[in-house]
Amino acid sequence: MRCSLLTLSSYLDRELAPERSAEVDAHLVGCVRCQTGLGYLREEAHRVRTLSRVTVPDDGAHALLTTVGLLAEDEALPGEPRWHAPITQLEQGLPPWLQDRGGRTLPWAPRNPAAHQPVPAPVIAPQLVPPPPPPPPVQTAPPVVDEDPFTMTMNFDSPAGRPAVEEDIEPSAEPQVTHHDFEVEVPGTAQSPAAPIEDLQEPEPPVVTAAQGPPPMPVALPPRSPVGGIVARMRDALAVRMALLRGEGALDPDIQIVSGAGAPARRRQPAGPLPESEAEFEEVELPSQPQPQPQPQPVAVGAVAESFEPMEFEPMDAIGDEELDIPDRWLNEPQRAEAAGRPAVLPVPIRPPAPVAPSHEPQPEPHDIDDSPGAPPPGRHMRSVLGGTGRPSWLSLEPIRQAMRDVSRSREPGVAIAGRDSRLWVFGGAVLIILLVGVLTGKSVSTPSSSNTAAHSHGTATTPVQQVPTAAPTTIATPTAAPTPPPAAVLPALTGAHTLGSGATQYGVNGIRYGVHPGDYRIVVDLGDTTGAGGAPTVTLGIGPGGTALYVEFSSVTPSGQPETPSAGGVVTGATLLLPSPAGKTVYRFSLQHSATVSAYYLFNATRLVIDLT
Amino acid sequence: MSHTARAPCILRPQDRAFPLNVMINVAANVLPESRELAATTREHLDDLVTYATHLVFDAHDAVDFVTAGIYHASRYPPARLRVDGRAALYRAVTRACRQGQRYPPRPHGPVRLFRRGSQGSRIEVDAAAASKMNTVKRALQMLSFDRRAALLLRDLAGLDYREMARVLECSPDSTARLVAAARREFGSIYREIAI
Repeated sequence: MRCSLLTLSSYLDRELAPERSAEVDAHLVGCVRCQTGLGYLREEAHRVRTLSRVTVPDDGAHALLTTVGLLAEDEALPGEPRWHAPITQLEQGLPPWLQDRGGRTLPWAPRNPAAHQPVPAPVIAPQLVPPPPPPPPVQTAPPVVDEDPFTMTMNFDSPAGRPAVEEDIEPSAEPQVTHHDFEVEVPGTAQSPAAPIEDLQEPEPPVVTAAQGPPPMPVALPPRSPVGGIVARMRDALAVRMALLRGEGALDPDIQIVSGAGAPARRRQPAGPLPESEAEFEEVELPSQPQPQPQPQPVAVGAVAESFEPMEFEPMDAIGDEELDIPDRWLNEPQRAEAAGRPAVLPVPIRPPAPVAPSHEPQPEPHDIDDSPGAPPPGRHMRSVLGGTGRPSWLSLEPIRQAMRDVSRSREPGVAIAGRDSRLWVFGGAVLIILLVGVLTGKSVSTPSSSNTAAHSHGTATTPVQQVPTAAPTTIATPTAAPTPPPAAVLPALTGAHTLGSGATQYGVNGIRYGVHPGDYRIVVDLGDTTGAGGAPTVTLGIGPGGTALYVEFSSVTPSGQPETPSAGGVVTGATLLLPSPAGKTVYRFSLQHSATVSAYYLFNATRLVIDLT
Repeated sequence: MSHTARAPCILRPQDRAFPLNVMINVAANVLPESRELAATTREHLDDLVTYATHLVFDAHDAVDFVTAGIYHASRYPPARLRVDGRAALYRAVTRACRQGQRYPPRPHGPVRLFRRGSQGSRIEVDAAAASKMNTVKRALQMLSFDRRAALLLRDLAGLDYREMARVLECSPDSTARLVAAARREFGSIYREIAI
């Protein structure tokens, strides 16, 4: 059969067919890995089974059934009274914690006592079952691992390379060997299980080899893929931390945390044991009851007389899909014994004990943290949560969490629906509020239209404010938020400035040309007379500070955009139109490679301004 | 609230005169009486509330959901009450928990902002021990709803795979996979957070 978590889980729930269950029984005897996995599954089922019970009193049940209309108001509750029912004769022989009737004093009593009964021996199909061998001469300890597997750090569910669970567990009735790394070479594999039945009719007494036992369990296993393992562990650690943060909502006065993350005593005194007078720490302790001692189950040593060779254990997450083609040991035992020259060892139809021996002794809560002084400190995932050292006090999120809890309580179904987090709605509301505030604020300071700006600036610049003298105090108009125009360019003090023109205002600059002449560098500014009235525009030329810039300032001349860039190698290296120019002015700035002497004059009725740089 | 007992089918004399036009309500003779359903509900009420409490982690909400589930089961009772009664109740309660259905229903929309006090159920239950948070419940909290429901149905309520298949509305094979995956994930999370 193949090692499968699905098979083990179904086997634990007794949902397998008898034949299949017998195969699992036989497989469990020789497969330590499956024994360990079954022990884990039993432990997890036990944890869930021991969750606290809720009891509904008779008046509450009557109110509920009346509310939904199953009972009339004056109708009696069906059935016998819940808490005063007579104890049956069968239950009198059982201890109270194994009886079917829970009570207020025993809220943890199991409701299904059948699940606590010892597991009966599996029924093996008659065509596969050999006659029972004579009892072995020596009864030794059952073939379980001596050490408690749950106290070890076996990487049973290693996140490294853990595939999706629901995909890797597929029921398959036929053994199929697809993964060769899990394949085990066992002689006699090719034989059909039902072939050597005749040889099993007269078995030899088993040979007892008490010194042999299962190999020691591995302590830790390296992950399969280093990169994938790290990513998986980071993902799991993040998920755990988020879950713990979500779980801190349980720090409610009406919900008491007795252990684990959020326990108040641990947070206060992380290093020492708790005092007895700690009021907030009420450890839930199971009442000490006289427990029946489990009877040791006789197990034939011959059933595990196979010599266990040291083997490498794969993580248990691999048992979901990988196959382990293990033939039926019992059916092939005579052939192998004959080949080896030793007497055959026949199986005993007995259930192999799990790594966790069924015990009725009162065990501590598995989720409790040992508070003894010598106990190891909590792991790295819990240090920040338990010790509270990961976050400074001024950054406490407790008020926000309290607000979130209040919000979540007022909502419905809120905490009842898994996967629906009310904090998402709080976050969405906060984002919406910020968006609204931003829209309203941005609307008040947004840039108005250009026409309004022009009219406003024109009015403020040319029209004086008319103050009407009245006796009553005038209301001071609140200045509206208008965009402030950038400051106009300020001309520096020019050296060698001289002015041309007669103050004509109908001219505009059409373009600027550059030319290299023998002995000088010429700049020609083409002007256009829009009305033909004649005259010449007023222009002032001068050298700026440092002697590396020539400024040409026109009065009442319309510019035509940025001037053309002069060719390289000349005296003028660059030309720009200063924006914004002073009111009524048009100023060009020519960068000079070196200082030069400026001479300028108008040509052709002031349609050209010629500037010579020597 | 109307009584859910079905009246027995009685063929009146005028109906017998036109047998082709008579529609016999067969379900009226098959559906259980409300008294039987009430007895079945009372029998499993503690387990239902326990299951819902650990499923939604709040006893008050659990009572509301259980009430809604029982109300739904009373409206649509199973035909074979003794065989499928428990599964039908768990199925209705699971659906109510998943969809947040309460009984009596709470107002929706802006009306709930103006309501006074809590309109929850007036049914009192003894859930002090079950309300305490521990590591097992934290680990359960991290599971998905279906896996948590599967784990609780199997290990807490004690349902078999056939009943769980009816409750979870899937096949028994899928139920087995769901239980195995839930146990595995629960074990991983528990060992991770329990140190």
